[in-house]
Amino acid sequence: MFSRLLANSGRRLISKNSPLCLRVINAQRYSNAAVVTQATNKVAVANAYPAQLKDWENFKMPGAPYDGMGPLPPLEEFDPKMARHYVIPEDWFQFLYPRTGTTGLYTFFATVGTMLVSKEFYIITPDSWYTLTLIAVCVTIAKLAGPSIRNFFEEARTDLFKALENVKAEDVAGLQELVDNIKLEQWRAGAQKLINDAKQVNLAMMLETEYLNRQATVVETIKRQLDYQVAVQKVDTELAHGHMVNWIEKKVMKTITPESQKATLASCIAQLNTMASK
Amino acid sequence: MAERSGLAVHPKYYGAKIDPGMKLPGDTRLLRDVKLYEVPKWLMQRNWTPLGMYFSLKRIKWAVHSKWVRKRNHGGNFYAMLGISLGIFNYLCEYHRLKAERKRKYH
Repeated sequence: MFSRLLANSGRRLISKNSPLCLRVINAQRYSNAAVVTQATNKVAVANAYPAQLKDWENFKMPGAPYDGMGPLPPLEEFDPKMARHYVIPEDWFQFLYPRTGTTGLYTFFATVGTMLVSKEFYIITPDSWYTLTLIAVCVTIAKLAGPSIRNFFEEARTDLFKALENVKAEDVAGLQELVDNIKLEQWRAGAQKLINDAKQVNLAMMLETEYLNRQATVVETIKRQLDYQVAVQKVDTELAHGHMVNWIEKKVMKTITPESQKATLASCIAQLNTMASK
Repeated sequence: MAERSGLAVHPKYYGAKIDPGMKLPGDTRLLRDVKLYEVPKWLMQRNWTPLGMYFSLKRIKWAVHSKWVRKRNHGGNFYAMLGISLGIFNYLCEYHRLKAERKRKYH
């Protein structure tokens, strides 16, 4: 065994000039199945841990957090079956299962414990009684009061988060109310739009009527002024006519004497007589 | 059972890039998967510098924490195991003084 150890732990005599078959056997013998491939850039490895670090303010340790690293993966759920009897990992049982079966580790502990006690590597003293009672008391307390203590501390821890979440929820509800009110007002403003349109139409109509009215008043005023001028002219002509007629009548009446009246009367009768005889 | 990687790093590296400057051990098999005749070779390949030892402690810490503590609704298994380990370690440190209280004459 030791000669084999020495032979296999020494420097390998196989190099790249060795026969291919020997190199293949060597590779198969010393190959590792699950090995993390390390970068062969030895310069980068050497520079990552410099012997003299002058620019220590800007030095970044290899594997330090970097920008864009992203969040860590989420934690897995704890499985209490990972540990049997709370302190013995299940892996230890699985390690011995192929050779010894289910009770392998228990047998191992029993035999090793017996050996320790019989050879007095583990000495039975009053302390060992205290240890056993301590373990028994701890286990009893854990089994009886463990869940309630855990719940107490978790409630105490989460009460703060719940309060903060309630504050946030209240704010969110208030804002949601605001949003609903704004939507309602927008809906109502849709009706206001119709009223506004009707009012606009009314306004347009009123403006048009006012415009026409004012146009009519303008026309009427101008017409009145022109009528005034016309009336004034008419009055002037009437006055002139009347005055002229009166003047002519006066002159005519002046020429009419009783003799001329009688002469004209007789001539008229004579004419009438002649006309009646015809 | 298939061989698996015995390398435990900070969870931020799962699925993320690993800088080429990081000094990870080349042989990341679990010790149970290393054959007996390969153990001296495996020991010589480890990084026994102070920084390397510090990194190994870091890896041990992340392995234990990733398995027992960094889980949702984890229990007190880690703390119980820690207490028991400290008790055993203390017994080993005090055994020299307990030898006087042995009862048997021949061991």
